[in-house]
Amino acid sequence: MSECHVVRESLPLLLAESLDPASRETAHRHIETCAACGEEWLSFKDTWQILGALPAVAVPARARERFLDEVMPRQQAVVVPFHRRPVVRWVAQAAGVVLVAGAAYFTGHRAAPLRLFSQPATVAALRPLVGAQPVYSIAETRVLPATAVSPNIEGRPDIQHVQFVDADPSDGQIGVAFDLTSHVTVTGSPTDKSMVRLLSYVLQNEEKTSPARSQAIDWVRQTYSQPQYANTEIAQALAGILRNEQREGVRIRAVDTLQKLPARVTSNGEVTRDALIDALKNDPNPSVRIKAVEALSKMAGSGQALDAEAVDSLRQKVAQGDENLYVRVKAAEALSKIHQQ
Amino acid sequence: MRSPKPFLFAAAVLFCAVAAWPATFSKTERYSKDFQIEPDGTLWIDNPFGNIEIIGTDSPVITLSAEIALRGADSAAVKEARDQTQIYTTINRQTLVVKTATPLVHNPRWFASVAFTARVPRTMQVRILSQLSDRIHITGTTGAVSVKNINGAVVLDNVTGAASVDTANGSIYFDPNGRLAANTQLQTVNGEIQVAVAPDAAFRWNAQTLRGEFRSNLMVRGSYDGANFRGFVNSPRGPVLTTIAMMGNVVIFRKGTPIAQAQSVRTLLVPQGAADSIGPVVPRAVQRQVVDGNFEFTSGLGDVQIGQVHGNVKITTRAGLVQLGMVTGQCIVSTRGGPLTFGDMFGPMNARTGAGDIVVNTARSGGTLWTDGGMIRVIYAAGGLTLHSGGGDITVRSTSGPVYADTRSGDVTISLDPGVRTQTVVAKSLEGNVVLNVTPHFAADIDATILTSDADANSIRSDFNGLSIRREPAGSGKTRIRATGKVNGGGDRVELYATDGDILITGEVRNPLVSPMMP
Repeated sequence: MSECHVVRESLPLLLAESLDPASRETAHRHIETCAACGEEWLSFKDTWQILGALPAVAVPARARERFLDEVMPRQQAVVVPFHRRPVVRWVAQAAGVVLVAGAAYFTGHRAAPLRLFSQPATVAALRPLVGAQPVYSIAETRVLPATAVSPNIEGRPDIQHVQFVDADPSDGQIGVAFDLTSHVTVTGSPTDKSMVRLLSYVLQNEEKTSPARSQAIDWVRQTYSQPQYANTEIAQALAGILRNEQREGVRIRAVDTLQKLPARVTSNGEVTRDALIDALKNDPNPSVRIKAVEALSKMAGSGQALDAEAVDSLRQKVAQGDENLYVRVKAAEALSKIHQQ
Repeated sequence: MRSPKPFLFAAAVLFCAVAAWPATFSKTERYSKDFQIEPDGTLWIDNPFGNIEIIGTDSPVITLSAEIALRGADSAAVKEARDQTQIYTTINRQTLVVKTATPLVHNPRWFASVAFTARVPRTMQVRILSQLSDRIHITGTTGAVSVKNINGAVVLDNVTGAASVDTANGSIYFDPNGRLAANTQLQTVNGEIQVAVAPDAAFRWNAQTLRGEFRSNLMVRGSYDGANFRGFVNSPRGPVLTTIAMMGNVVIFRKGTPIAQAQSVRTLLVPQGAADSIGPVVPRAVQRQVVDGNFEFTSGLGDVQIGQVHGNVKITTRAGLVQLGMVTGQCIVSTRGGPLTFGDMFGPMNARTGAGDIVVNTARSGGTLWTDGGMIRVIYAAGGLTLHSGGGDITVRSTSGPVYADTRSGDVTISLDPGVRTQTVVAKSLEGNVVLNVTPHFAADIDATILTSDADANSIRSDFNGLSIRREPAGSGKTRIRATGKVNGGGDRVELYATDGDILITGEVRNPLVSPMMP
């Protein structure tokens, strides 16, 4: 049995998060490397998402009664003792398995070319999905027919990167592609997972320098330096900037913000600690190094254990003759804060 | 009827006994075992928490004793401590390795330490690795000794072999039992070093410190090179003693004499009466509320924190932070590293740091602020400002004077006082954005330029009409975007420049920033 076959068989279980960790890891690895299975997996996910978005519609009472009458004819007022019926149960289970397998097969082959027969269809009315969880995906690529777009453009949306597409000049159809950033306001507590994820994304994925990004870092500093909002993920996002950002000015802002976060947040993760150590060792800007060593000092002072690498980095920094004297002194102070247990 | 007093007394005693029972549970276990390896073999001890005592003997056998001390909030915590604290030994003909395995980060409800005592053949080499302890003591050995720890004193007593000690926060006490016989390196970051030798001990001495001092009551010769000293004691021959005490003192003294007799090596090196020629001994840090009159301070290393100076200020340090609350006169500050924080500055300023942020609350007469790396933030200025950062943002919250600001990397944000109709502003960022906030009535001749490698990503945005924008290739795949023109009829020159960033000129109605009250 090929690996693809095995993985495809396990896709429904993977989707339902029912696979054991080892199999899950194996399946994900395969999906990442196999284009066909990856496509199959995306197809599964889409279907799952669509199914999840369907409303839970109550069965009409009359239909329910008729159904029950058919499968369970009304008995006289006689109490029938319940007996376990293993054969029926086995048959029901088998039917369930067949049903799941059939659905999985159908779903899995949804991406395969289908032969469609022309059949007129009419849409009577479109109704919102009442009760379904709204799904707002921030990363989507959509192709919309012009007839589905309202001719009234409101709110002056920020349309960027416009391109004109004419794949087939003879078909009388054209395409206009653009990045549309509508004005979205996401509200919530600073500790909401979605909010934290969104801010982490904004912090790390803004490629160009813009005043908005600087403001974002400032705003994160003001909000997440408050102990009640302290968040490891935000710290890791800032650590990512500190480690990967080319521009010194942005790195200074990031490490300045990291330094002001509560120590338990910065020390609660190797990513942040490693980024600080890396900055202390290698960043060419002395201000970044000062703030990095001050953040490490804060961690040591708060009773958080510094690992051997951090301690050795501080020792080396103290002894580094060509380092700025203030950085060396600060490294010594950080070491002195490693206290007895 | 019997009196209830004895019962009450017994109950009270029991209550007191329970109350006095320690809140923690503890347990101690002791082990001892003999090992035999070659007399010139090596004993390795890796013990994160706990004291270590090594005693050199004439016996060919290593006798190792371990005392495991466990402390916990309850008996379960003590049990967990015991389970997670194990001693392993590995032995061959040449080496005995003793290792305590215990997690460095663990449940705070318990603590475990292991105290080792090892009686070893005196010719044996000893290697010790430790994290936290009160003391590591080695005595009576002739083989090489190496110790590395973070906290805890290291005492080498009657150790005549080559020694190497590296501790972060511990002090080092070394007694080679007379003359120094082998090369020795003693290194501590935050501790002190004391070496007791015979009066006729002869050795070369290399020393280094950042904040400490070298002292001795022996005949010392040599010279300083900054914070380093190279010289000798009694004779320029013999083994080399290297002492590195970054933040503490180093004292080398005659064994049997009071350590207080030791004098600063600086004074020992120069002829009597000429000590002043190598500079006055200055305090390391200054902390004062008020200074009446001028204040002048020079230091190699030290922080300066002063509330008010009624006069001029001149401060020069090699490293240290400077905080001045108020200065009525001129203020000149120069440090090679450390943040500078100023409150209300009445006179002109000239402040420079090799590394660190500069924050000024009020610069009433303006001035020059320079950092080789760090952010500059001025809340309010009434005079002209010249600001330079080697890398970091520059922010001026409100100013009525001209501004010349440039940074190698970072944003430059300048907000002019709402009362200013026109003013000269030159702002440059070689890697960032430039933002100029003025009022709608602001008049100027504007010349704004962006040099960018992504012409779609960067732009010049202005709330003012009258600017003509043009784009042109600038070579190396870059594009120059330039906006020039007169706004509100023209006025003083405003020159803005950004590389790979945006330029934003806003004209909004703003309330004036209230400057701090005059004292």
